[in-house]
Amino acid sequence: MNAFGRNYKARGYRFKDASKDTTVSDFTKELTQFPMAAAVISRPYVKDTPGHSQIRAIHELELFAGGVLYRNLSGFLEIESEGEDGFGGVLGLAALNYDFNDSLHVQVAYAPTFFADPYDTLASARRLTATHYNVLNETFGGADNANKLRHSRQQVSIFGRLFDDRLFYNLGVGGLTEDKVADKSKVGFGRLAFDITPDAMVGAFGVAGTCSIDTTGGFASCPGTRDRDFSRYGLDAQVDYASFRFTGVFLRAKDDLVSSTTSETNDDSYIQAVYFGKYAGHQLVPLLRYQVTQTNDGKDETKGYTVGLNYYFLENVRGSIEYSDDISTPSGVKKSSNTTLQFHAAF
Amino acid sequence: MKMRNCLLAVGGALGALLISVQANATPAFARARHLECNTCHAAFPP
Repeated sequence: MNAFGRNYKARGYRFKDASKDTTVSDFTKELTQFPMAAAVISRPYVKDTPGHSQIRAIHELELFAGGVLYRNLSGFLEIESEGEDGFGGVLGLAALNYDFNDSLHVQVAYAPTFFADPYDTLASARRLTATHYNVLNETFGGADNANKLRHSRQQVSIFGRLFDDRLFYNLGVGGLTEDKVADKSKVGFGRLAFDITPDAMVGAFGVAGTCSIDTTGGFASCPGTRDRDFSRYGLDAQVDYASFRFTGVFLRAKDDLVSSTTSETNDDSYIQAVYFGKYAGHQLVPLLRYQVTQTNDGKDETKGYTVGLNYYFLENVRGSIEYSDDISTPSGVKKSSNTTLQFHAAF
Repeated sequence: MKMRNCLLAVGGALGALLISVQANATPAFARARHLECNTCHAAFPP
């Protein structure tokens, strides 16, 4: 997103500070203006090494609704249906905000950990590839319910902008990733993003929690005989220069092990360059991503890249072709690659 | 079988494209606020 989009999202889908906004609700307008959208994602050609191929004519359907619910209340929700989940309709995420002003919003959500964050470095939903950012797609030592940062968790947080809107903050507490009832196990998280200039952000983030062996509820598992602590701390940056957007994230994950009293630490990172060009009046957006992924307490490392090309037939219809390949893998692990053709249409 | 799957894939993708083209290019979520997608989502608005 650009600066306008970041402000619009962070303000609770408003053009101005909530304390100065006179909008009563987006939902009292006629039906044709109901703030809802749908997206269809098609992956008609997917092929990887070691040789699997898929024809996901329809990969995923998404329904979104968002906006000002009533005065200071705003919200956003996504219901999705994916082929790999059997096309069952599930709640992707939901967030409800009480927007005091630009500096203070209170949010209750079942959403990815940094959902309130309007920058793109930690936003899986706003990536331009089918493949995911490694830092959000790894389970690391598995203490966070053996799940990934890009998946949703129950959370209560505050967020806003301070210091002439240059510092974005988000602080919250919640449950384990994908624990639908957030039973017993607790997580705290924080995120700071500072705009050095309107086009350059540097940030830091962290998640720390405990997988409690007392956890019940059926949506989380904390195997072993003792509670296991875990943390994910990192640094990130997003820079716009000329027609390029550069992003990068470094994350260190530490997880207590099930089978011993020790822990394991893994460092993951990615850097990405995206060029926003034009061809015949349509946006043409090539990108290149390089990522390093550690496993096995940092002893094993996989380096790989993704190269992709996005073409916007219309502003809401995007076609893309991408190729991912491993440059190096741990000893005994075969290199893998993936080619995906994707269409993304929103209406 | 392979040909049928290919036709299904191409048909599905084409259908998604055509339906969204009929939606006048602006998703309802943005249309409710009189915004184009690019207003928020293009890193560099055209």
